[in-house]
Amino acid sequence: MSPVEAAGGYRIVDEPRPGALAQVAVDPLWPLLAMMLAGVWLAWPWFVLNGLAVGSPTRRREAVWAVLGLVGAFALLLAIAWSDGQGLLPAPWDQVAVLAVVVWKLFVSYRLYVLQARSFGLYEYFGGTRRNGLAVVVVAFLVAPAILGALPDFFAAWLR
Amino acid sequence: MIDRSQALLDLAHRQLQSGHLAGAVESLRRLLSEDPDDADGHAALALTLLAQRRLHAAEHEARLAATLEPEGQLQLLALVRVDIAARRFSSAREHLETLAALHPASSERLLMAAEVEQLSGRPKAAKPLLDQALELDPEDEDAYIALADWHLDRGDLDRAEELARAGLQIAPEDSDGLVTMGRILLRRGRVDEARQHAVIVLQSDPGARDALHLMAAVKARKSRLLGWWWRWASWMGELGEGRAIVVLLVAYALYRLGVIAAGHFDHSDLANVIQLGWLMLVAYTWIGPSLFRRAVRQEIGEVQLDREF
Repeated sequence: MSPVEAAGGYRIVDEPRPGALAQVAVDPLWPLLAMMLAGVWLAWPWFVLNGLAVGSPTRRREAVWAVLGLVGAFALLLAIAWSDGQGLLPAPWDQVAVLAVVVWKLFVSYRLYVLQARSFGLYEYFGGTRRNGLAVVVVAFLVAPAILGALPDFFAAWLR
Repeated sequence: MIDRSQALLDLAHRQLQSGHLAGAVESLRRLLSEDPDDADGHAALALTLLAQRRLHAAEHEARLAATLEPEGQLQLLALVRVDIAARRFSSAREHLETLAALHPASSERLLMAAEVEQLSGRPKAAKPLLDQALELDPEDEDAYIALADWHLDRGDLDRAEELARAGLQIAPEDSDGLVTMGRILLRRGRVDEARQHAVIVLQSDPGARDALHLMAAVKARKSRLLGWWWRWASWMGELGEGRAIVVLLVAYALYRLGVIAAGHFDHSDLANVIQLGWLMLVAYTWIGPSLFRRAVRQEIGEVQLDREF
């Protein structure tokens, strides 16, 4: 009997409820590293999937943050592209504007990590199994340039 | 049923007191499985979950408890504790006022009110509350220790030591009192004696968070290089996760802005120096925690557990 089953009875609201996807659960550190080494195209959907796998009680909030992250990055890039087209971003302000997008992506990724790390701690405490995400991160790091390179510049910058 | 519920509550209370938080949660889970409407059970579970830093769940339990018994002392105390942990001081004050109207003679309430004032940046308002708590119950060691902490935070080490000694005379094994005394000794530069106070607490409760914190502070005092990391980590911990992320991102943005500005004004050497400095900082903060943890673990590993543990 697993500790989750052993606990039985009254359920505390923040305790994870792992489902069939539990076999693909990973430490949320891996999606965070994936964001840094491959891009948000992998990291944010991975966070959402991992939230479902762990049975995170905050999985809806995590999904909302991931969507918000994509929308925010898209809006920022759109504003940068428009400003650049109007000649409002001479050097080095163009680089500063791009930095804002990077900071936004980092902010959303850390937010997701912090939210999920709590649930993951409890998931592990109740005997939940986890996989090593290293292989996924390494493969993603290698294929990311090819995937993002095949996209138009705007979309590559959005999903990087 | 009542006897069994009370027995489980008592067991959970003892487990909580001895730092066995997981055991306390399981005892209260059993209680609530048998009687999901036990208001004291929900309130006690809220306090235990808070000790485990599970704020979201603690809040849920405290609200359930207050719904079941809106005027109960334990239920209101749990709500105040949750408010303090969530830094919602105006809500904490409201609950404390309700508590004062329903249960006026409570030194615990006064100590919590003082804590709210101190945390909300009004230490002067906390002092009369602490004095009142001591007046109400002159044998309350918690009041002495809270007053000692108040003086310690103001840098009045003599008065702090006097009060901590008075508290420890009433309860010589009080872990809060021993930790406060250890902190006073550390401030006086008596590092080994401070360490000894942390050891005494850890001998009977190896998971005592404040004692571990004191032990880490002792270690940080001994090693300057790791001490910087400790002070940084403590400061970030006090900020809370949300603000800590913002601080880190601002630091990162400043670093990148520095590199961009240096490059723009053709100071590529300066840009390289900034990059190197950032790299060293990243390496230090990456390695620092594991080195520090190892050093503290080694220190804790030398602690001999109490025979009665």
